[in-house]
Amino acid sequence: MTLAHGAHGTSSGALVLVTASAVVGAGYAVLAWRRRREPRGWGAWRTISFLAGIALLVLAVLPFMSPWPVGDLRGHMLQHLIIGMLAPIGLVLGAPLTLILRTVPRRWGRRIGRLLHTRPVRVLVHPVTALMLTVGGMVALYCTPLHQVATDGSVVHHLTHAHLLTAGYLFAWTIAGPDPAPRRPSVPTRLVVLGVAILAHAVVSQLLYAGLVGGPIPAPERRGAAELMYYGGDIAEIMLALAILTTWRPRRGPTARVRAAAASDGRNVGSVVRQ
Amino acid sequence: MVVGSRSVRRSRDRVVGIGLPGTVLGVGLGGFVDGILLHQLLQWHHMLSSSDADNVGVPTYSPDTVPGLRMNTVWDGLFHTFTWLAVLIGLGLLYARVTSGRGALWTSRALWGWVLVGWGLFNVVEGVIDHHLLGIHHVRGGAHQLWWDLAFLALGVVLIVVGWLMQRGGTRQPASTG
Repeated sequence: MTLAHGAHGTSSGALVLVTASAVVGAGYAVLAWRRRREPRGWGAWRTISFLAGIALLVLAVLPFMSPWPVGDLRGHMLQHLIIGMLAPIGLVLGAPLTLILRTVPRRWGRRIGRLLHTRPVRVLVHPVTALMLTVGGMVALYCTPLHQVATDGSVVHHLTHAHLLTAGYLFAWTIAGPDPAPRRPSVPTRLVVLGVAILAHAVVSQLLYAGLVGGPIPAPERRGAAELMYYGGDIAEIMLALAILTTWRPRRGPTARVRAAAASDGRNVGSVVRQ
Repeated sequence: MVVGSRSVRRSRDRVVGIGLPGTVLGVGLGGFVDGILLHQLLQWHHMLSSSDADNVGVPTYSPDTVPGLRMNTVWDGLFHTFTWLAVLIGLGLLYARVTSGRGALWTSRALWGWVLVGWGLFNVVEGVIDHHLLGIHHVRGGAHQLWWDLAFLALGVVLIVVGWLMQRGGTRQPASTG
């Protein structure tokens, strides 16, 4: 009974996720509070954004939050939207990596910077890799029988969620994150990658709406899920597009304000990680 | 755009010359308000939902029939593509135009003023062409559709005026400081 996937969250997996989210959120809050009392401070909006991301994650996996009956595709879609798109934007804008870098001793910061510049990480943290992971996950989930398997088996289901969250975070980080990333491509390149993701998202949701993918699901349920995916995806993608606007940095910062912003954003990493 | 970034002296001009990118971004965002709020949430209209009474002889596609809804969805899809291209191109142009102080741009009145101008422009152009000239759909079809269409145009004009005043206030600031 407790392991039945359909119960969506009364399972031990959801309990683990809620606990982990709470621990991460509390850890962030403690570190942010400490940094806030330092002269350089820590932006309140970052803390709010990160904790909002955590709250969204918790809401998404709690079983009684879904307005639809257990196992309804619309409920799954909403869950996937939150875990894979909305929550990652909140988490990424909270700049957790920058918070860690400011907390740990400088040599640890350098070590993290070096790690970011190793080849595997560089390949992983590239917008095109993130694009393939997130779009690939979406295509695998809705255009193959994976979705049926994922709703039947608890382990696959939680792995799916883990993939959605990781890929979504990676994508939001490389596209619009305030955190440093190794060899991040220019803003125009990132906009093109975002455009491709938007296109793929719209196409898969239209295919789902038309019933060409998704398996044997009653039409109203399938269309409702497709509409959620289409318009919910748009809203999340607009947020991500506008987030680029808040986090892009000038290649040269002549004004004092810009210099201050640049300094506050990676004194520990400035020497190792260039944006 | 790379050449521009070399120029440090341009920093004071950062709110000048964002009229076009801000407007394009605004056109896209305005399209989303229309697309998500009116088409989807309120379901007031689709792209061709008044095609039975249009002015240019478009075949009738009622959103209540399956092929009709499909046609409407295709046109909504084209509209979707247009709005997304406007948002992404607007951001790209903005990035190319503003070569320094980008962090501060997010909060600049000039940018959001121009975005409002773009939104208003979207309403006016879309309203005049689709609602009045082609008549392929109305903001809210029915007995009072003319009033809804006119209100849509009026909202557009108000947005343009408010946005224009906002961006003017935004450009004056750096001119006086630098």
